[in-house]
Formats: sequence, C-alpha cells, structure tokens
Amino acid sequence: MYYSICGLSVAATLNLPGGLAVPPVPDPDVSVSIGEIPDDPNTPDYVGTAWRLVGRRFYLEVPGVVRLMVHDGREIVAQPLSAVTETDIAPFILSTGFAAILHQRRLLALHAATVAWKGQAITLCGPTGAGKSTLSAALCQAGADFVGDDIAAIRTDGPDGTPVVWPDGRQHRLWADAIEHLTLAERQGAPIRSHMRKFHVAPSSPVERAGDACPLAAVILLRTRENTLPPGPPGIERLALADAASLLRREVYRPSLARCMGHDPLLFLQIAALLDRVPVFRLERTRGLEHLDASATLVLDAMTRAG
Amino acid sequence: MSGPVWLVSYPKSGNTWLRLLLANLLCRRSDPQDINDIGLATLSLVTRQVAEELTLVDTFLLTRDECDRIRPALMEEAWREAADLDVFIKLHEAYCHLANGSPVLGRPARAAVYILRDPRDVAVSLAFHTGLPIGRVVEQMLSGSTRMGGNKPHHEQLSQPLLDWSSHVRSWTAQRDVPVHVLRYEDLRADTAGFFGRAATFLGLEATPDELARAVRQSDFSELQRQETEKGFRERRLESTAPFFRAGRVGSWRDALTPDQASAIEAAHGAVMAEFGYL
Repeated sequence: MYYSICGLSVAATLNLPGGLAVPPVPDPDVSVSIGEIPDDPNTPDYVGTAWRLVGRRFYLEVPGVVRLMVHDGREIVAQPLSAVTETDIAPFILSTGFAAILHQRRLLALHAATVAWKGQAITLCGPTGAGKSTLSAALCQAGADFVGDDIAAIRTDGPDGTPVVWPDGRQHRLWADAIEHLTLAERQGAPIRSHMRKFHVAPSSPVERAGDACPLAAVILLRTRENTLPPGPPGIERLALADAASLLRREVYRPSLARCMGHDPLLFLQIAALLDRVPVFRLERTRGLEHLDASATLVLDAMTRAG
Repeated sequence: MSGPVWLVSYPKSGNTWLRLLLANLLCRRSDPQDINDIGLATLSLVTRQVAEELTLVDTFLLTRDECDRIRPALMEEAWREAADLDVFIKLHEAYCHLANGSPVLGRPARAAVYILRDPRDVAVSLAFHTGLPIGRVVEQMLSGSTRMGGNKPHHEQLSQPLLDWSSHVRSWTAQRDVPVHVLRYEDLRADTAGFFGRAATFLGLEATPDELARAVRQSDFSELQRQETEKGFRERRLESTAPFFRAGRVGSWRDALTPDQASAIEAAHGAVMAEFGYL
C-alpha cells in the first residue's frame, strides 16, 4: 500500500486505516513494515520514558502493544507485542512513528489540525484533547476544506518564502459526541482502536490532490479557559510577535523528541520564518461542544480580518 | 535526603491542604503560597498531557490495562527528576498491582504520607466537589470497581482505581513497598502544628517550631478560602456545587447524610472505621 503523509510518499506492508492511499510511486520517501526489532547493542545517546535514541535510530516501546524502530527519516519497523492486530498498531505508527520521521528529517511539525478556507490553510494547534479535530470538523461544515487532523508539517523553504502546510493524510478523528453534535454519523468509519469511542470520519471535502501543500494563512492556538473563570462564550486575540514565538515553540509535535534529537536550533529558525509571514491567534474557550459554532465563526472572522 | 514522596489520600480527604502546608513550610516565605501556583517541586503521574509529553504516546490510544502498564516508566521519570531534590507526587489511587504482580506505581517513592478522613464526611465533601447526589457518592464509596479519570475526551487524568473506601485504606496501610506515615484529617484539624510536624519529621524535613507555626498560619482554612474567593482555584471542578475549600468541618455528615446513608457507610466500612477511631 502507498500513502501520502505530511508531504512524504510512504510504502507500507500493512494497512494504515485512516491514511490517504495513493497510487504506487517508484522510490518512496519512507517505508513502513512489520518485523522483529532486535535489541540494539550500542549505547543509547538518550534514554527517555519508554523510548530511546541510538544514533539515527529511535526506539519506542508501548508495553503489551508495540515496539517501533524509526531510522534516519526513511524507515519505520513495527513489532506487535502479544496478540494485538495490525489495526491496533497503525495509530502508533501514524503518530509517534511519524513524529520521529519528521524530526529526523528536520521538518517543522506542529501538533495541529488544518483546514483550508478559500485555498488558504488555517492551522489549529493544541494538546491532545484540546478539541483540534472537533473544531476543524465544525469549520468544514461551515465550508472549509479538510487538510489534516493531527500533524501540520510546514515548510518555509519554498521559492517565494510562503510557509505551506502538507496534509497529514489522515481522516477526521472524532469522538462519538462530536459526531452526533455535527450529525456526521453517515460518514463515520471504524474506531481508532477497538476500545475507543473515537472514530475515523471521512471528510466531505479533502483538499483534492493529496500530495499538494496549501499556503498557510493563520495559526490558531487553542486554549481551554481556566477553571478559575466562569464558563462563557469563546474569545480570540491576535498575538504579538514575541508572545507568538515562545508559545508556538510549545506547539511543536512531540517537542521533547525534537530537543533530544538536536532539532531545536533549526526549529527556532523555522518558527521565525513562519512568523515572518503568518499571524498567530489565541482562541480561548470553555471545554465542550456548547460554543463550537461560535468558535468556528471567530476563526473565520479572524481569517477575514487578517486578509 | 531527596527522592520522590507520595502524598496519598482518597479524594476530598485533605491532600491539597497537606500539599499547601508542605509548600508553605519548604518555601520559607513571609507571604502565604499562591494556591494556584505553589512553589513546591511536584510531578503528576496521572495527568494525560504530562504522560504524553514523557512517553511520546497519545494515551487516549491505550486501553485501561495498557495505561496501567506505562505507569512504572512515569515513576522512573519522577526518580530522575528527584535526583537532588524532593519531588512531591499527589495521588488519589489505591495501591494496586499489574497482572504480573508488580506495582502499577512502579519503583516505590522514598516515603509516603497517607491521609485519611471519616468516610461519612468524605461523602459529603465529594458530593459538593463532583456535583453528584450524595446517594450516588455513597454507592461509589461502597463499590470495589470505582475509578477516577478515564478515557473519555473530558478526562484530563488517566484512569486510576479507587476501589471501595476500606480497600483504598487497606491497600496503602498494608503494603510494605514504601514506608508510609498514616495521618488522620481530624487530627490534623485539631492540632495542625503537632500532627503536621510529625509528618514532616517522618519525611526527614527539618523545621523549627516557628517555621511550623508559620506554615500552619499560612495554610489556615480562612486563608485558603480567602484566596479562592478572590481568584478562584484551578483544581475546583466546573461541576462543583460549592467552593473547593468549602467548610473543612469535622462531623458535618451528621447534618448532611440521611440515617440510611450513614448506616450504609458504617455497615460496609465499620471494621476500618473502628480501626482508625471513627466508630
């Protein structure tokens, strides 16, 4: 199977549910396979919590689920542990596995969902559970095109310097309550993993050509309103450059991996190049679905005003 | 002396107060600690975002059992961070084991303080905190399958076993992996300096009587309530029907529980309650 993920062509010996399948390509950027991962005899350069770096190799172990080995930005090997299925391990390959690939390739990747409005990308950043996917699905209902669900791979080295976002090749991944709220049951697919109440949902309007990047027009940082404040409607503000720079650094996908792989100095420059061209907004909302439409409206208004 | 310390209790039993006492003691400032920004080295082992940052894995992808199996690696991280300072780790879960017999929490902390409170008062406090009817809370305290956190989108914490109230107490007082100092909330209310001082001594924290008195004053319930009224408290839940620092009263169950609710708790937890002087 061949996929297009974050602007990279991927050849996989296993099915990656939710991944965007493409026709075969002769010399894919990344190979993904199932296999035995031998113990690495070399001394690790860094030992993290259940992961380690040995030279250009990244190792991860999710106890009882999967071991991953990611090498040199080109290869992912996954070893299922115990009785898990290929479907069970695909989400780990598409998330942490590709985080390692992107940092090994020194690419800027934000933890973000992305939609396109009139051909211009809006990237919605936030930690897991912040509501990125749900807000992006709401924006799609308001007429935006779907670009990516969880990773925004951004390149700032194009010919005219405009930052562009590459689709992560994923579908929407939405919790059952969001699917119901947005009446998307017709397009609901399989759960992300069998125990989860979070499902793949086919976008009605994916950006047509999977390999194509979309010029980035705005970055939105999703923030949950502090518990110390009463619940209420969302608010949005444009951030000053200095604030945006420090805050955006924290939105990098798997930032500790970037740091340990020595990617930080370059990330600093990549973020500076992005901020040179793209406004950053902070959207603060109360958790939950109550003000979802109001949030989507605020995002589109901010886009319009930013020109 | 350094290393991770577990501060453990069933929910709404005085854990936050104990943490503020420690913060005020160790920070040695003339002003009371900001309840929303305490200057104590802490680490959460159950916050989803922390777990994801450390393990690089989206923990929503994991089943409850798989989540339990990453917990020992998180505790190893606590030991790394605590190489040359005390790191205080707040826990509400019962002390449980993985299928292979090893503790879910992993490598034991250097010490633990277990704070417990009359379960009838816990039920009242927990009902205000969770916004649930008291009857429902009493049922939860009687059920061996009660858990905190979970795998739904609004769960900011990983799923943790609470068990029933008696099993929670016994899981911590009977385990032999970590030295544990047991402290009753009621004793801490009655003689804060005395009982907090003993807990501090157990943890190897040096403090003069003056320093203890200052920490007690700075953590007085009226001060905590004043700060919460003024600025709110981060740990208060949106569904709460009262302030986090509500009353702190001993024996408020007499006005708040029905006789049936009180006797249900006493019938189920009588043995442990008697052991700790509640019956």
